[in-house]
Amino acid sequence: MHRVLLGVLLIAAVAMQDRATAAESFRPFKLKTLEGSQRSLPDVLGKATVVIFFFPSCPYCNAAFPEVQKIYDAYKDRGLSMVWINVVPDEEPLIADWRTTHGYTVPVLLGGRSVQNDYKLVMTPTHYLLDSRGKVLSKHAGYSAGDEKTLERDIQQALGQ
Amino acid sequence: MHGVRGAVAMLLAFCVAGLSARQGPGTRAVTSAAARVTSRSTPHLTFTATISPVVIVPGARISIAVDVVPKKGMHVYAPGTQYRPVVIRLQPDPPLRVRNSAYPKPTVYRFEPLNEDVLVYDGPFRLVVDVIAGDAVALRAHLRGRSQMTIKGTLDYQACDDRMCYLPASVPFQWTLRVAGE
Repeated sequence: MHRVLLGVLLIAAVAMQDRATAAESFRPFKLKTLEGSQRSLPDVLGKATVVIFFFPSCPYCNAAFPEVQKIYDAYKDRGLSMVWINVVPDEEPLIADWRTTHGYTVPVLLGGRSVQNDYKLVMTPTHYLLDSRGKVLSKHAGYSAGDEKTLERDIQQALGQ
Repeated sequence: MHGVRGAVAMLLAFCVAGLSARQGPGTRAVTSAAARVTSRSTPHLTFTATISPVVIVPGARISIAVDVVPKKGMHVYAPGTQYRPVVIRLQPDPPLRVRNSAYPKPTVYRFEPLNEDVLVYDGPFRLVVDVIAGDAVALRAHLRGRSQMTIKGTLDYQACDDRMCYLPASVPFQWTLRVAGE
């Protein structure tokens, strides 16, 4: 009887572990760049990677991104990769000028409407911090002043600094 | 007696909950039998869209009024900002011509993170769009032979609160109206 119970518990534990592992892996993507080439998740992974879902006229994205760009500038040579994924297709024509105006150099990918469903997005900015294998280390939605400090600490930890 | 009332109330609540769950996430629709009024509820706001008159007379004005109530802490953007303004979009249909759109006076919202003032609606407000069906001979030709006409539209907006912005939304509504004979 005890052996049966132990077996059931073992199976349940393995099943739960599988579910947890699947939940921690960032969903793969294959999206276009502004120049029209394709990028997939493995193409953009660094030692640590920040993926941020945004659109150009999103007020809180515009509040957060100057600080996020500074973080990218500070850590990109230490293994940080970053990509911003646009989630509102009708704003794609705005992106090039928007980047130039604000001096943003973080690579941008073009997500279609399906991205909103694929990642169950309800708000922007939403960011994920991934490790070198694409596992989710942290996720955060919205922006308040000071959030960038938390992100930077998490990035430092992910880069092992 | 109270027990019976309670049971009926619970049954009604159960039925309403079941109906809401089947109608998709975040949106509930109630269209009156006369097909004049359509109400919607999203996580950010509720609105009631009203069309009048309910019979389309070629050349006559049709008024569409949308009464919007942002939910607590939410605001949507007014025209004249760099953000996505709230707007009624009507699906193009040859006999229909939009004649006029009216917005109420917005309020000024201080967006601290960017240190800027933006024009928003953060309380109940009404948008009105006037259209004319078949106001020219060519347009009347489109209406000829049609006993009814469906007017489809969406309320497009982007809602934010004091911490985050939600994804732009486009909430559909429609009415099928009778076309008066000429």
